[in-house]
Amino acid sequence: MKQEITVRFAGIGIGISSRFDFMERFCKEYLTDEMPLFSVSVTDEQRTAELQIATEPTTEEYAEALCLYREIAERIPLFDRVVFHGAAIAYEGKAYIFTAPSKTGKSTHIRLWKQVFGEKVTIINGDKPILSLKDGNITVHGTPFAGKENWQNNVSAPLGGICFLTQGKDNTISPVSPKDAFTKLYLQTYKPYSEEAAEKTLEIIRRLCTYPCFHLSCDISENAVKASFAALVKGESK
Amino acid sequence: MKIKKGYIKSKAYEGWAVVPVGEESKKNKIMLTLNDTAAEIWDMLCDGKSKDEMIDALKKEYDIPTEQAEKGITNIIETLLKEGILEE
Repeated sequence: MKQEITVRFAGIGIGISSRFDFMERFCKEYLTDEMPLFSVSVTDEQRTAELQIATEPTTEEYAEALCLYREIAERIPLFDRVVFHGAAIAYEGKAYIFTAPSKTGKSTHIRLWKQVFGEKVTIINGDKPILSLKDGNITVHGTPFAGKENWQNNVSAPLGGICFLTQGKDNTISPVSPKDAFTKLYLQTYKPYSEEAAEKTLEIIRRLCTYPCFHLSCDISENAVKASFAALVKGESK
Repeated sequence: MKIKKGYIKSKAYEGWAVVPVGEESKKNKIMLTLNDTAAEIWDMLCDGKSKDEMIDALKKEYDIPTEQAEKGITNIIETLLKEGILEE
């Protein structure tokens, strides 16, 4: 028996058809009564394939959830939105994204921000937020798909800046030009199948790369937060 | 030589970007960035132009010697072949 729900992600209603009631629980903070702009579902074959490629033990229902999010990621560029791989936080009304390949330390870095700034920091999404483009402005949105820590909140904030993280022995931060950021951002953005969605994705990245972008080489310490805070929030970098 | 099906050229922040779509997007996650001249060569490859035709076109447009035009074209072709985007 299929479960039909509608969720509101990044300001748009999306219909989800699922084989398990897990999705309703998983998306409980995002449920809505509005008419969906589009709907997604997955086949048994997609679910099985997802289980086969999983790098960690997972359940059939979570595998289905991941497939559904991928289907959403395929469609939302047509609504000026993309799924982005990064840890996004909100601080004093602005969103800041820390992005890097998996296991670099994105979650560790935003945990340190929470440690230093406490309640002033809200985690928007620890792994895969949605970014929207409207009137030339990028907004960062929470979704329930938030990686293994499941750090997420149903909140949105205008983008303030982006940090590309690498592990290092010291804590240094330097600006990244829009030209270089364009390529780096593409690598961290969901790449859709359709040509139309790919064009829309590149349009969003063309705008995204003009926001303040930095490269942060950091260790696991509060000094790492001092470095990223100075650049992202205060506009100071070496 | 022809460009493999499943790649699109779109504007980058500066110059142009070539990215995979369709089935290619599942196999290949790269983005190639091209300057304006490289983008012209890309367009000519998409139109099925031969190497000699491309050399002639670049010589006329930029008033450059044959060797310089050929070098530019060879560089692009080698990159595209290496990335599996161009088929012999």
